[in-house]
This record gives sequence, C-alpha cells and structure tokens, in this order.
Amino acid sequence: MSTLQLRGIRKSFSNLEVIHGVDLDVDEGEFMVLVGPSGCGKSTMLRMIAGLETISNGELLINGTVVNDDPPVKRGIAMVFQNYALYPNMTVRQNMAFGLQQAKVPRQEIRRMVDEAARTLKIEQLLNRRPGQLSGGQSQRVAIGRAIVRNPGIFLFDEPLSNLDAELRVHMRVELSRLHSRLGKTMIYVTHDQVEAMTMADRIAVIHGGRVEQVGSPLDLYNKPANLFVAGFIGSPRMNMMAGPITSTSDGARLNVFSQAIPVPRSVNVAGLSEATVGIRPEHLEVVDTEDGDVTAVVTLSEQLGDETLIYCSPQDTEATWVIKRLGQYFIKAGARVGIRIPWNRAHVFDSQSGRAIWRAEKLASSERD
Amino acid sequence: MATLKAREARAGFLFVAPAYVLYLIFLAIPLVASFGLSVFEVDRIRMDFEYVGLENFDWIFTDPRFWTTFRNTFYFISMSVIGNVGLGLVLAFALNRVLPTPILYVLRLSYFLPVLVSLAFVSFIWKFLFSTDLGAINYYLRQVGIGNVGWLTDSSVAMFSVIIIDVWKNVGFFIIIFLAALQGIPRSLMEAASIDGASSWVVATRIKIPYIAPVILFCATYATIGGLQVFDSIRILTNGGPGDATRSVVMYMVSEAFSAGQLGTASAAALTLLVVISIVVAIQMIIARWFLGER
Repeated sequence: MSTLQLRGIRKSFSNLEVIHGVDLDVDEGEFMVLVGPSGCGKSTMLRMIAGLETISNGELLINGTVVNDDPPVKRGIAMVFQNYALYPNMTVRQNMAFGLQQAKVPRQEIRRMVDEAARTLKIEQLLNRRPGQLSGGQSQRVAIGRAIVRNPGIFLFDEPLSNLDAELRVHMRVELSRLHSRLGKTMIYVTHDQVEAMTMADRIAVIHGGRVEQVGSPLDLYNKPANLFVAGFIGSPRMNMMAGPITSTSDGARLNVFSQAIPVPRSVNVAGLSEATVGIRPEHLEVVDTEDGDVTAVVTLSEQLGDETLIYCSPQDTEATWVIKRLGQYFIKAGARVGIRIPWNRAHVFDSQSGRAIWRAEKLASSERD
Repeated sequence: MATLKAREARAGFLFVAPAYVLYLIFLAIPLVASFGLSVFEVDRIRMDFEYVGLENFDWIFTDPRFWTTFRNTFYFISMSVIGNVGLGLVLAFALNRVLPTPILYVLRLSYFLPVLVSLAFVSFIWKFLFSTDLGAINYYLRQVGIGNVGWLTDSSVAMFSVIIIDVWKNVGFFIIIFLAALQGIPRSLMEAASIDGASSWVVATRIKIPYIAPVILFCATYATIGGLQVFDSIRILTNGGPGDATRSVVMYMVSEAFSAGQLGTASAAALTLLVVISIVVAIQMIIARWFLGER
C-alpha cells in the first residue's frame, strides 16, 4: 500500500496553465475519486500521477518520496484506461503477463500470478482469447487484471466505466468496490459521473477549472458543499438555486427573487451579504397549495420513476427550472399551478459573488454525525 | 413503375458505367485477348491466326532466356521489397517521433519528393550519375581511391543499381503509408506499455509492428506486384543488359511481342506472369492470415 501527496502541482501546456497549484493527500488504502466536469483537469492530474504527463511545478510524493522525474514503471502504480488499452495482438494471458515480463519475473512465477489474478476476476476462461474477441465488460475485467497482476502500490482508474452500458456500469461499480475492500490498495479513480463518485469513494475531490474545489467524504460534500459549484455538481437532480439581493427591513432580512421579497428567518445568517444564493435539494422542497407556498410555480413536467417522482416546475412564471423529488408515485399534470414551501431548516446560503457557502441549516451541518 | 430497388440498381449501374467501360477497354478485353492469343501463332502482316494449342507455352518454358528473366525479376522483387518495405519501415519509425515541425516537414518532403518525379526522368538522371567514366558517383569513388564501378555495365552490379533507383524512387511512398499507420496506433497503448516498463525496442517489436502488420503486409504485396511488372526504369537504364543481366519478364514479353513479332508466345508469357503473381499474392495472404490471427 502506498500514500500519495500532491504539493502545489501545476501543469501548463505552452503558456496555458490548466492545473493551478493542487494540494491533495491520499491515505494508505484509500479510495479517492477525482470528479468534475469534462475539461476540468482531472484526467491530466491522474496522468501526472502516473508519469504520463510531466509536472510543470510542484511536487508529487509517493510514500514520502518525490517522484516527479521517475518514469511510470518506477512509481509502483498501475493504470486502467477508459478504452482498456489492451494490446490487440496478444492474448489475455500475454496482456496480463507483459508488464511482469518487462520486470524480468521468472516465467513460472508469471504464470502463477496471472492465474491468481484471473481467478480473482473470474476471467480464467478468457485467458487464451484476444481482446477483439471480448465484450466491453470482459475487456474491462482484463484491463483490471493487468493492473492487479503487477501488484502496484496505487491503482489509477481513468473513467474506466464510461464505455460500458448502464447495467454493466452498475455491476462493475459494485465489483470495483468489492475489489478495493479485498485488496485494500490505494486507488485513485477519475470520473465525471458524480453517482460513481458518491457510491465508490472513501473521499471525493471535486475538481473544477484545474483547482480542487473541495475534498471530503461523499456525504460531507452532499450535506456541506463548500461553494456553489460543489453544491450544483454533487447530487442528482442538482440542487435548486434562487439568487437575488438581500434587503434588511425592521421585520428582518428578505431575499428579493422572482419579483417578490421572501422573508428570511432570523435563524438564517445572511448578515453582511448583499447578494445571496439559496440552495435547496430537490428532496427537501415541499409541494403545497398555492396559498400556503412561499412561491408559486407552474409544473412543466413530471417524471414517474416508480419509487419516486420528479416534478419539474418554473417558479413564479420565470424561465428557471426547479426539480422537486417526492418519494413514491405522485400524479400531477403539466400546467398545474402549485405552491412551493421553502424549508429554511434544509437550506444552504451562498455568497453570490464569491460562491462560498455562508450558512447552512444546523440539521444539515450535523447530519454526518447522525 | 419500377420498384425502388430497381431504380436504385439502375442508378448504381449508371454510376459505375464510366469506370467499367474503361476497365473493359484497357483491362478485361486485353486480358481475354491474351488468353486467346496464347494458343495461336499470329502472322501480324497477313493477320493469319493458326491454332497451336499449348505450343507457345512449350516454347517459353523451354526458352532459357525466359527463366533468366524470371530469375532476374524475382531477385529484383526480393531486394526491392526488402529495400522499400524494410527501409521504409525503419525510416518511418525514425520520423515518427517528436521533432521540431519544420525539420519533420523537410525530412518528409525530401523522402517523398522522388515519388512525385516521373520515373523516366529519374532514370535518365541516375543513368548519368551511374555512368562509368563521366558519372558523378564514380568521380567521387575515384577521389577516395576506389576505382570505377561498372554500375550499369558490369553484369554482377547492374541489377543492384536498378534496385537502388527503385528504392530511392519508391521508399518515400512506403514511408508515408507506414507513418500514417504508426500515427494511428492509439496513444493509450503506448502509455500502457510505458507503465508496463517496456523499452523502445520492445514497444517497436511487440506492440507497434504487430499493430501495423496488416499495413506492412499490404505494402509487401503492393511492392511485390510492382516488382513483377518492372519495366520502364530498366528499359531506360540498361535496356535489359549487359547481356540479359537486368532483363525482366515484362521486358521479355515486350521483346517477344514487338521485336520478334511473336504475339502468341508474348501472351503465354503474360499469362504465366499473371498466374505467378496470383500465386505469390495468395501465399502472402495466407501468411498474413496466419500471422495476424484473430484480431
């Protein structure tokens, strides 16, 4: 097992800096997921860790040793690529043995190690096939097998499930999590899919624009997003937002949004804020009668998922779309006018200018301890 | 009214018709005519056709010159395939690396330029360079103390000279094809190999060459077929000489047809060449299938 530290890591292509001083610690045996939208720099970070991309500035430490200038093979890592990167002219056994052959491992030992890895991944029957004869899921297993057999300190995964269909992706997700528990190795996993991140990670690093926005456990990020980006990125459907100026009256603060001034409870700390964004998760918004709601909205669509219903609506006849999640089957027609109650005890308040989280309900802040 | 399928078929035929007419005039009809002529003795003056069965084939198979030209042709093929495909591959590997863009373009252009120049023109230039007394090459050889080499006049060297020109002329074409193939290898394969700790030699021999093997085999086949048909450069450089040292099968056919006026034996030689080309290509395809296995 290995530890990994990134210290002020920067990466530039010509004069364009794409990674802007990233600091990150990955503990022994930890499953760390780097998640972010396309083009955020997460794969570049992984490739720098692997040694496939040079580091422009900063230090990369594996087990406390700076490895910036070490070639990939010296770093004790193995990588699983998005497109599997299996050598097409070699059989599965040859693919898995290739790295060991380069390390001059004795032939008998290679055979034993490949057989053992194949047993672990239940791919013994595929050992004599070539990659062209494998399905996507089988190829992925072989790619993982090729990584396992080298017994690396750190596993690197670059969006390994994105070429698989939805059902297989869920299956492989579970298998990878099991594999992590069984091997207990440090794993760094890159994905743009926040569901993968939430379900597999011990900790998640949310990357945006070449910077780490927040690092924490999945529920930590869900319940206590540090800023607007994390709040919007983590959670599906995404958090509903309403942004507007804050005005102070003798009755307390008001949020001016959707052409109305919504009273902000005294318990919500918006002191010193001129513009605020209030975020509420879809499962926390309540649909009520129009006269009982804080805002009224027109239902534009409802999606019946069987165990839950997603209601899409436009508050106060605006172009904005809010999503409300209700457990069970809830029937409401498009075009219906409803009231929506804002549960301030579930709200997140962000400074609209800086995007930083300013306040969140105590219930959310303490939920991780529950 | 015609069905959609019939209308589509008619449109398809109309589109291929121009190419097919050219094919008929310049390939199919001469091919069929060759089959016919190979069993006749033709008097071109009286336009008299006498059926002789397989006598024309007997004639060429017992003609030692025919076998000499076959031997010459296969020597030319083996050397030109090794030169064009082997050297082309080595140079493509050399060019397929991170070099400053201007240098890369200059190198690629300089290798490819001979491909664009007419073979007749190239042959005349090389004929001058290879000239025994006045040639530039022998001039420099004399300067460094090596005497004159009979590049085109010494029967043991002449075919080698022809091969040098062929490789010089055509290697750029193969370099471009190999470069395109090498650049088509997924980057992730190279990265996986680098994580596996493979050396440049191992990457080249165990990953890159097997990956582009179909292209290599195509080039070998292409060069082989081209070699079997070699004519124009030899015609200009040595006209088959000295003696028959550089005479190819195609030259034999031409001399039979147009110098000796034996259209029948020339056609028999042409058909024999066709059969040999087919056998060689079939062998290459079998080797390719065996070598490439299941992908």
